[in-house]
Amino acid sequence: MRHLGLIPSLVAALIAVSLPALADEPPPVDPALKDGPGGRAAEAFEAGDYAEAARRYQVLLDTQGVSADTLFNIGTAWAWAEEPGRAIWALERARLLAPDDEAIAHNLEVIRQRVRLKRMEATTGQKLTEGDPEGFFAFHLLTGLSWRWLGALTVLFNLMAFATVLGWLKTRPGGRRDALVVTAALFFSLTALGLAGVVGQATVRQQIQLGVILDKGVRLHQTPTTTSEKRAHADVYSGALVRVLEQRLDGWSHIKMVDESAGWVRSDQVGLIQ
Amino acid sequence: MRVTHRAPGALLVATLVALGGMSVVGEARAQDGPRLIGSVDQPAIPIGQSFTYTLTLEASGQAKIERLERPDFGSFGVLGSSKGTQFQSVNGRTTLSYTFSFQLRATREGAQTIGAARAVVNGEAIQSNPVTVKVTPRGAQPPEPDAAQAGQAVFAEVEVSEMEPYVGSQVQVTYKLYLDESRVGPFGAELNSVQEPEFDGFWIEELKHRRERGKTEVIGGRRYTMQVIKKLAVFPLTSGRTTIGSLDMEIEASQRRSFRRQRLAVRTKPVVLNVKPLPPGAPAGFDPSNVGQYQFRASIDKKQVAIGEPFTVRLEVSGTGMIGRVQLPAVKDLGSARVLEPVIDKASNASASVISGRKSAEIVVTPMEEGSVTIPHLELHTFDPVQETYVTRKTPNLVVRVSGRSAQLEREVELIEREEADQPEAFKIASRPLKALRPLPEAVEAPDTRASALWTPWFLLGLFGPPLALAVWLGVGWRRRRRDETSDARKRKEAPRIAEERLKQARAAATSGDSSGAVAELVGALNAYLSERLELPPGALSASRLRARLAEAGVDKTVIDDLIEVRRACDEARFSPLAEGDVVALVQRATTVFEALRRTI
Repeated sequence: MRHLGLIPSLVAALIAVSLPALADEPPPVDPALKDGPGGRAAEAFEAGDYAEAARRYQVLLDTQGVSADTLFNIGTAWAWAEEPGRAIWALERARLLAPDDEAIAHNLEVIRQRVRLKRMEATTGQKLTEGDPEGFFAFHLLTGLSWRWLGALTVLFNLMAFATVLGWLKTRPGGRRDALVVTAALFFSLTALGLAGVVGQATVRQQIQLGVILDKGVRLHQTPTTTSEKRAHADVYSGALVRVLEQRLDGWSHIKMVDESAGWVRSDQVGLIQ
Repeated sequence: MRVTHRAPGALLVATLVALGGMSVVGEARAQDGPRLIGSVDQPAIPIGQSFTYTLTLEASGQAKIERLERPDFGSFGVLGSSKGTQFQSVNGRTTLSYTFSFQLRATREGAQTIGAARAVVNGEAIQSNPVTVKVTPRGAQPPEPDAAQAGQAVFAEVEVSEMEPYVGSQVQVTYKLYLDESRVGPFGAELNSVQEPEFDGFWIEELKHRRERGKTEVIGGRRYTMQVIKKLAVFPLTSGRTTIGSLDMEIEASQRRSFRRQRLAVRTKPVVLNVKPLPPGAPAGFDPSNVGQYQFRASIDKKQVAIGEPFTVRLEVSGTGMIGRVQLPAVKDLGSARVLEPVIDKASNASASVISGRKSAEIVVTPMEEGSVTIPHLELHTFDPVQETYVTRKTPNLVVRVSGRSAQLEREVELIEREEADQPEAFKIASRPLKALRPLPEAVEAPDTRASALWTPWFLLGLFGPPLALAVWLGVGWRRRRRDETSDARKRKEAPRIAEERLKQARAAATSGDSSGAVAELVGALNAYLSERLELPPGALSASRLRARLAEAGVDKTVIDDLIEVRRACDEARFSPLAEGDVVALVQRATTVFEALRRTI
């Protein structure tokens, strides 16, 4: 068992040696990007000023309206600026608008894994606590479905179910009538399933507020005051997903972590995904 | 001359009596042990002026304060004192903070030291930090406002506490506005705007100052109202001649002989400081950021742990100066124990004249071998700009005893091994290049950010429309059937009355000689009655069917025979008209049959 103590150190050393390799060369910026909207942001990105590029895309988002593409560019620029919290926040919001976008999912996954490796490097062999906060599964399952498609399917099943009932009423007793009963029951079940999805989606959106820790070195306060006792928490790191229980007008947010513990952080340190 | 004052001592003793029976509820933690801190509101003071010395006793846990002694104030005279208590409760753990404030007066020039206060809390003897105050001669007081400016209705001055500070030391800068109220109109003057000065080469912190009514000062024979506009603590970052820029203000003053208001631009003169470099003789390991009056302590949260069970070493520096820039010593060389990166926390407080605060580092240490882990004594080298000397603060050795491997460690090793198993995949994903930026659309369509389809009209219509349509359809069918049934019942109910009417008309026709009309009415009356009561269509009233149905209905056979006979006679009468008397007789007979039928059906 004695050699086990060396394993985490070896892993940390391996990561420490390998992490610089993750800093790949930035991809060349398509010249067409510099002529279209966000041209100045693209120029800043090409010049290597990724934070400035992200800020310029943010201005575009604030002035021209929200789009998954703009949020994708903001997230990607923040990732290059080594701000994983802000990158994950932007990409999570982009994914809400475009659940099927593969590039958004790709960049999110890559940034998450980079954060994970850096944490492994920083914790030097300590157990890496991580996971998703309560409600995360339901949130991503239900918000990942397009509500238009879900609603349209539910309505379609409903119409089919009642059309079958109508057919049953017009049909004389016999084998065909029994088949119609089975068909109607099937369509009613599908309608109920779709309705449950629609209601669940609305409930999740209203009641489950997820957020991303934006800054590095955020500490958890026991009470919403600057003078209260505060401590570092293994699940509060830049890019960590947390559940936001309450956001107060005085600038404090009550958050809950994976281990069910809760605490307060300043609201500007956590970005709401919705 | 040493001035003594007994009242504060009595105050402490009286307070101790009150505290003697007091216990503080909560859990004891090594790092939050009792502390005694001494501080002053002004690090430098002209002779003869007063300042405040504050002694704070912080006790958390089941603390019992057994003794508390005030410090030796040395050459300072005690003018008065006050006390206060602050209570804080976090997660059931309470902390009490007792504050004793002494108003002191400087009586001797030079660096004067206030000694350490002592206390015994829970049997543990603690003492406060000594505090040194620089007492300057009277001539070193802030200069009077420039005489050349005296005579103006309004002017501004900047007051600097130290013209030749050491690099990194704290300098108090106060901006004052002077107004001769006798030379402005009855509506006085207002400060419109203030433009911050340039502070290149300085670290700046704003000091607290109360916006209060101005003080009256006589300058050049004129009475001016003076108001403090801004108070700053500035820390020069480089040595040499460094300039504090001008503060520009715009004043709007009313005029004495008109209602018009006059705008006046007022600015302070720039001030050139001669910033001295730190003197030679700095101890090895001294960091130039550590300039100020600081205390340093180290603590551990556990004295005994199992192998693999982490404990926390807490280093804390507190005092006056650029607390955020102080470099804490590193904890290293702990043998096989693993040491995590320190988590730094800092908090600064601005008083009316000084910036103070504390900075801490929490370092998690995980021992990996049985025995003990010793955190060797740590040294913090600082330069005290008041005493103009280098000061070294040392912490004692801290020893944590380590017992055998814990079951928790076994579990954690297992988890780490599992993580390692996952790691190649994580590494592969993290190594993938990020997807490039994408072009943005010329016009962004506002996305539909509704939560779900639940409250959209088309969804509600699609969901509730079909059952509603089915319900309406079923309802209409039921109503139609009901209406038909109602109509048949009504006809059935009214059939006897209609038959009576028609028999009456047949009788009238018979007596008036209209035999065919009488027969037609007679046939119509009987057929309509029978059709309704027997629920048979008029065309189905054959003799045989009538016999059968009437018999089922319990009609007497003779009545049935009579009815058949009357109907046969009527049929014959349609082809061979009857005489008037025969028609009357037929009508009478039909009436009798009808009466008999009516009693039964």
